[in-house]
Amino acid sequence: MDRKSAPFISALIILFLVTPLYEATVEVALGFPATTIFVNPPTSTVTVGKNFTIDVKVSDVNDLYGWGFKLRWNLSLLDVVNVTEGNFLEQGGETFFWPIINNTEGYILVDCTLLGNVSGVSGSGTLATVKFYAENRGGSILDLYDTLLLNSHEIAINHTNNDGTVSNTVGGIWIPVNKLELLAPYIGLALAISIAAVAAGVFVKRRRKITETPS
Amino acid sequence: MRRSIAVIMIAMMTIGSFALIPNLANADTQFQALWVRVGGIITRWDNTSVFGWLGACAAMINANGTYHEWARAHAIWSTEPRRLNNSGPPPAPENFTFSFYAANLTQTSMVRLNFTHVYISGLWNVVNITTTILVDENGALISFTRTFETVVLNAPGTLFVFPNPDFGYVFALSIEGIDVLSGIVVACKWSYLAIKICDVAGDDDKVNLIDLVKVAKSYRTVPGLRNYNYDVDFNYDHKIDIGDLTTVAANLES
Repeated sequence: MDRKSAPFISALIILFLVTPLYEATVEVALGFPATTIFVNPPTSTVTVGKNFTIDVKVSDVNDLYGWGFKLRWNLSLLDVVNVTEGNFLEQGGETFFWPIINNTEGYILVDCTLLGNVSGVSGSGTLATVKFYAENRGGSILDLYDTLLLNSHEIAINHTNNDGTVSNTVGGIWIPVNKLELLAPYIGLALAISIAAVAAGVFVKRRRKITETPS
Repeated sequence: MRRSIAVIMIAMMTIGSFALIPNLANADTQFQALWVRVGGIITRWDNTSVFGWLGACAAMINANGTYHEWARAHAIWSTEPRRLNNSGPPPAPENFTFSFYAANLTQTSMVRLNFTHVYISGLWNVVNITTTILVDENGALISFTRTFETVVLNAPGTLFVFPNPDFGYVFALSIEGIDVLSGIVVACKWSYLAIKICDVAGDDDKVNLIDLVKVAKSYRTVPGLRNYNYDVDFNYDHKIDIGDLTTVAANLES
């Protein structure tokens, strides 16, 4: 490598090293955060016989004018008590909120839209709050499906869904119990029965021995 | 031996005949229907150039041998086209008075459909509606007042849609007592299944959020305002209000 070509090669090497950095920068600049509809909290542990609530939220949305979703669950475990509108869309003005609850088949359909020729709402927030009643013990997925977000030009907004899960545990109140005291009568009875059984066994064995002994 | 084989055969035939029961049950539930939805633009009122919209939906239904004909049809038009179709630049936000005509099919007497022609006859009401509209500085509606002047009441009339070599399909609405309205058909949908009136997006045969948003965008508008959408005025009361919103909401498909 002569002196003349050294700067040229150095520049080439630097260019070679810098190019991936440039590409990475471009990638970061274009990588908009993805709009997501999700159940919050993602996991709920609840007590059987009690009500609990979950939120359906949206994050990083732009120009949201109307939204709709379906949510289904294990119908043997939960019942929906009511669905109320969250405060996100109403930041943009008057809204029309229409929930349909189907506890027989275990799903809700909720639609909401702004009214009039107004711009949509951007950002993140709560779309709806769902109050459930935990009927039985077990676990269920809170499955978000048929979700639709429309902007003020009536165009669908790309998004992803994140389901939630709920786990129903046995309910009640904690009472400390002395198990030995509770079981004492049964332990005594069991002991008496065992002694009687052993005694009977011994008695029968001796009778047999006497009968089998030749006189 | 022969006797037992015969008994088994008879038993098998008896059991086999049970399989026919569902078919027999369905035999008397014949259901045939033909539906059509037409959307058109009114261009002429006799020899006068006008602008307006026509909407009609009709069906011929044969259910278990019982034949029904059903139709709904409505039209609004104005001799002030620019105010109704909002062509040209938006006018400065100011209060204004606007007059238009509306025709409504009140009673259907005959429907004939054959995939190329639509014929609906019945009794029609025609009114002239004058609306005074008060708007804010952004052109949004504050309030409106309307006066209704009956032009004809329960007048016999026919709507006829037919092919035209130049425009595809055209229509003529003839109502006794007023001149003939005519125009071109811009949308025509035929179906063997019931057409969902609230499916205004018309792309998926479902009433869903897309249709609800279409109504919401025109909420609280009347003919003459820029966002008025004739297609979502389901109850033909010439205003888009909570009645139209709840009509769609009540038909949302779950």
